[in-house]
Amino acid sequence: MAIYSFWIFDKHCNCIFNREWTLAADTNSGTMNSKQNEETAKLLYGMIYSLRSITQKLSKGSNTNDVRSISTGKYRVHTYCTASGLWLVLLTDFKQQSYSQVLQYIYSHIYVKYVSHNLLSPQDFADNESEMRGQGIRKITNKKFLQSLEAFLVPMINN
Amino acid sequence: MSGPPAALTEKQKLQQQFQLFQESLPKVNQLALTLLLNETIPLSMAVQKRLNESELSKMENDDELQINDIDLKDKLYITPKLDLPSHKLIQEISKCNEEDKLKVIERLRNIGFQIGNKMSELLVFTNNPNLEFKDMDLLLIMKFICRDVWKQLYGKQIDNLKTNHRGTFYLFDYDYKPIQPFSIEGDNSDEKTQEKELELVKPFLEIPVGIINGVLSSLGYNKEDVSCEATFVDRPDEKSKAAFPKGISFHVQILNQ
Amino acid sequence: MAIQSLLVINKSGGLIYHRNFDNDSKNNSLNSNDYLILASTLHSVFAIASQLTPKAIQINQNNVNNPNNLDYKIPYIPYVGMSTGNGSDNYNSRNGGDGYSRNDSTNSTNSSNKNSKLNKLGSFKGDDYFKEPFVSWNKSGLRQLSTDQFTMFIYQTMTGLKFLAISSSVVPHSQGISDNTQVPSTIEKSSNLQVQIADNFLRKVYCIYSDYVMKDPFYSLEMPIKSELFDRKVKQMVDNLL
Repeated sequence: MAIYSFWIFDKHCNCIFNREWTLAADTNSGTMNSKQNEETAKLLYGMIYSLRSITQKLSKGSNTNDVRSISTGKYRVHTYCTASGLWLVLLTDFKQQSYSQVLQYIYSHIYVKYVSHNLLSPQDFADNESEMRGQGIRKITNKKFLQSLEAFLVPMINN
Repeated sequence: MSGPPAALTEKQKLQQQFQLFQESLPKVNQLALTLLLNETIPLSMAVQKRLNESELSKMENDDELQINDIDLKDKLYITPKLDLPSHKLIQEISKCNEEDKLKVIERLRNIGFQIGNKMSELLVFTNNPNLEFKDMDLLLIMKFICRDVWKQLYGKQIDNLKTNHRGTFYLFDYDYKPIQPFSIEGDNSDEKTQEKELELVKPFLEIPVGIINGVLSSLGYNKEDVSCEATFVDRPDEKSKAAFPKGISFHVQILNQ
Repeated sequence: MAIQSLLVINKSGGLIYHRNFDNDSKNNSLNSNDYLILASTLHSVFAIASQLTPKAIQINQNNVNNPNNLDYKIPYIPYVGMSTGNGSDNYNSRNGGDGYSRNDSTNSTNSSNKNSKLNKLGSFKGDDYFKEPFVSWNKSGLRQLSTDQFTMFIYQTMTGLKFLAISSSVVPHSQGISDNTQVPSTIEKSSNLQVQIADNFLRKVYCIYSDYVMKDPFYSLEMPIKSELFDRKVKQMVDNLL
C-alpha cells in the first residue's frame, strides 16, 4: 500500500489543494499546490464527475450512490464527497480497496479543524464570480493544515 | 442507590444543592459558543464599516442626485448586501486607521464587559460553596476569575496566576482555546508572517479582556480603576506544533487602591 | 458475487450488448439511451485515466529492474462461472438438461460432448475455457469502480473490446483508523481476489463471445449482439456464479 497524491476540490469545481509525492524514499519529494498540476486536476475532476453522474443514475431507490473508489491497472482513486460539496481525493496503488476512513479522518480532524474553524482562513476559496465558475486559483496554504496533513499521510507513502 | 448518609455537614449540603443547580442549567455547546464569540470580532469590524459608510453618505446629503443613486443601488438587492467574509474583515482590522481600530477594540471590550458583568452575577448567586469573598479581597476575586469564570467560558482554568500583592496581576493562559486552530494563509516560517499572524489574532483577545473588566466591575472595581491588557507570551514548555505558537498573558492593574 | 448486469462495449465506445440479470423492476428506470451514454462515458474515462497516472509510477516504470514494477498477470481461478461439483444431476436438475445439448449441437465442441464432461459448461474442448494465468490488457484504463451500492468490473481485450459486469457486492469500509490505518492484510487480499475472479469471469464471457458471436455468420462487427445462444450461455454462467 502506497499513496501517490492527494487532492481537495471545493463546491465550485476548483482544486483548492493538491499534493503529489514522487519518490517513495523521500517523503519531502514531489509538489504541493503546483501550477503544473492544474491540468491534471481538471482531468481528475472530470473523470470523477462523469463517473458520479453514471453511478447516480444507476442507483436504486432514493439513497445516494456515491463513487468510493475507481481503479485502473496502475493506481486507484479513492473519493470522499461531503454534503457541503467538498471532494477529497486520494490516489494510491491498487492493492488497498478502501481508504474511506482515512479520507473521513482528514475531513473531520484536519480540514474542519484548521480550515473551517480557522477564522484567518477563507471559508469559501472562490472570491469572485469567475472563480465560482471553476476558474479558482486560491489554495489552502495555512501551515497547520499542511503540517498535520503531512504528518498523517507520510507514514502511508511507502508501506 | 443507598440513601444519603445520616449526617451531612452544612457545607456538603450546600455542595449538593449547587451540584443540582448546575445540572439543571441549560447547557451550551462549547463549540457553538466559541464560534459565536469568535464571530464577534469580524462583526465588530463590519459594524464599523457600516457606520463609516452611513457617515459618508450623510456628508453627501447635499447632493440630491447622489442620494437617489445610492437609493437605487440599495433597491437593486432584494436582501441587503452581505458583509465581507470573516477572514477578510479580520484582515481589515489590522489595515484600517488607528481611530477605527480603537473603536473596533472598544466595541469588542464592551461586548466582553457585558458578558463578564452578567456572568459574575450568575456565578455568584448560585451559592457556590467554593466561593468566598471575604471583605471583597482582590486576590480571591482574581482566583474566582481564573477558576470559575474561565471554566464556565472555556472549559479550562487559567494556567498560572502571578501577583505582586499591590494590585498587579498576571493571568497566564498558555492555550487559550478559541484561537488554537488559527493559522495564517501562506508560509509562516519567516518572522514577518508570524508577526502578521499575531497581529491578526490580537483582536480576538479583546473579548476576554472585556470579560475580566466586566467581572471586576460587577464585584466593585470600576471600569475606570482597572486596566487590563493582553499580550502574547512564550510557553514555558514546548507544546505540539499543531497548537497556536503563543500563550496569552492578561495583565490586570488595579489603580487607586 | 451476484452479477446484476452485463454490458459489452465495442472499441469505439458503442454499446453492443446489455442485459440485466436481476428481476428487480426498480432497476429498469434507465432507458436504452441512458445505457448508451453510460457506455460512451466509460469509454472516454478510459482515455482520461491513462493520463492521470501518478508521477511516482511514471518514474518507477522507466526503471526496468525495479521490484515494485507492476505485474499485470492474473492468476487462473478454477471454474469461475462453471457448473460446480462433478455431479451431473445437480446441473441437469437446475437447467433442464436438454437445453444444454441443443446448444452444443450448434457449437464447435460437438465432438466432445458425449463424454463425462458433458455437464460442465466448459468449451474449447475442455471442462474450462482456459487453465493458465493470463495477462491483463487493461493496463491504464478503468478496471473497477466501487460505489455505495455496487461494484463494476471491466475487462478489456487487446482489440479494445470492453466487457463490463456490475456486481452487487460492496467493498467493506476498512475498520479502525486509530494507528494510521493498518488495515489487516486479509481485507486487502480478499478484495484483490474479487478483481481476479471478475477478470476470470469476464475473460470467459469473452471466450463465449468469440465462440458464439464471432462464429455467427450473420453477425456484423461492431453492431449490437442479438445472438440467442450467447444470451443463454452468459445467463448460465451468471447463474453458476451465484
